[in-house]
Amino acid sequence: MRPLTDDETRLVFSKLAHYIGNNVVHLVDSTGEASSSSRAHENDDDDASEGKGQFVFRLHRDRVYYVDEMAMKLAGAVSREKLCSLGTCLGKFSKSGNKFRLHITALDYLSTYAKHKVWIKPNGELPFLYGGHVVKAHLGRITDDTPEHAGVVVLSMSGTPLGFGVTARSTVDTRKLDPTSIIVFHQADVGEYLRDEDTLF
Amino acid sequence: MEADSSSAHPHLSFDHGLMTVVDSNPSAAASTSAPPHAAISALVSSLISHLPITMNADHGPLLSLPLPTTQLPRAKPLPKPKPLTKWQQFARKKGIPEKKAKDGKLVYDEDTKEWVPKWGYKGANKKVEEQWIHEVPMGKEDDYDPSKAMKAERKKRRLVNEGQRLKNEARASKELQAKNAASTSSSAPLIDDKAAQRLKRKSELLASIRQGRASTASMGKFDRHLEGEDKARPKGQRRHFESNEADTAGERGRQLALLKGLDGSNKGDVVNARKAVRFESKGEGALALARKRDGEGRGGSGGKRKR
Repeated sequence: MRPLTDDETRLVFSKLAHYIGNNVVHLVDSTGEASSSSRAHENDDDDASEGKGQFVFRLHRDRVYYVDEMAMKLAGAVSREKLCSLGTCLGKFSKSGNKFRLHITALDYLSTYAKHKVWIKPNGELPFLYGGHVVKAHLGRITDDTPEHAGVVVLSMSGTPLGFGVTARSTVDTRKLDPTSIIVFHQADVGEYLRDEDTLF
Repeated sequence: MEADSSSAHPHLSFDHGLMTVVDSNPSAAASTSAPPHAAISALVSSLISHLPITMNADHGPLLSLPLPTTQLPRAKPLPKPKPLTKWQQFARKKGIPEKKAKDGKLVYDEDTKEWVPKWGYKGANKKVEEQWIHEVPMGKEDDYDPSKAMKAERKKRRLVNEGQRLKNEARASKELQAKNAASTSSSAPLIDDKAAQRLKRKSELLASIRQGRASTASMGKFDRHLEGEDKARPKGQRRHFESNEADTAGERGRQLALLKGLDGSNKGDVVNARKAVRFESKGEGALALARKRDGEGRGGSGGKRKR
């Protein structure tokens, strides 16, 4: 386990910025609140002043983990072979180390800070959860001014995050498409927790 | 060449062995058209008077010519003395006299009372080997073949001798080269020399081995050591990582600074020249752009526009 080097940090941040844009600042310098967790109640008093509850990025065996400092220090006591995972796994680097790939485990933070979101109808949830792309027929809502090939978070109509992807067309162009054309390319969905549970953490 | 000082022709000299007469008179060279009758008759009379005449049954009186006395110059230079072989050096030092000249290939065999070749086809050196019966000494394993063993020994001896011969030759050539280099005092590099070449190659190989050994992520520290290889001494700085627990605030500061750089705030300063040229020239390139600008400068006349 070690901190990221500058190059690695740049790769991770640019990948995150695809989905959450400038909100990466919140990830770097924050208490790491996630919308769905109850952590928002704890540590409200002494966050920024003492650095407690501050979250850091750590690299362990090609994977980038987003973990709070206390847990990180405790995990330092575990040997490298025995340490499985710590905090939240955001993703992992490729073998050559020049590409960073986001995993579904980062969905919590992506959905909290996402810039562009796509809501899909109930009948479109299953195809997406099985790994298919989102077609226009299943599109419920989409944020305005979403450019082409932008990172988006896919949510169900009730607001639960289902995964994330990349838009195939901008919002404007989506209106002109026919119902069977793809509008969001699938990148990760929560079904991967079952499909890829061996390799996810 | 005998100079004929006693007779009437003191300017003539005779070589009875080659039956030649040389006229040392300068005027003789001038008249080349007419054959020198006087000189030839003088030669014949000199031959008859000086040489013994024998009577031969078939051919009549015969003159026996002596050996020629004319000294011809050497066609080739004298051979240089060859460097001594290892045995020759040793023999000289110890005072061992050289063996007499070899007596050819044949050697007298007492048993068959014949002259047999010493080596080669039906050579005497294989006589014991090719006996029809061999006495096997004690303590040999069951499949011991005496003739095969002797043949192997003979072959080995030949190879050893061949090796020694090659070494002598190599040493001789090296000495000759050194002598030539010393005599002519040329600054030719010794890379031509085989030993120096080998040394250079060896050092090259060692360098590449060392480089290959260090070309791993841990710079050769955890590789298995081979016998005979010098221990891996990894040089140079390995990758430097920040400490894990210490200074998270500093880490955060650096990451924020990095973020600032990432969000494109530097984009205004840096101009991508390639893209700018492509945009300006509408894909036609920098040369076309320059030409266009020049054409406009000149008032638009002259200068072709590349389509």
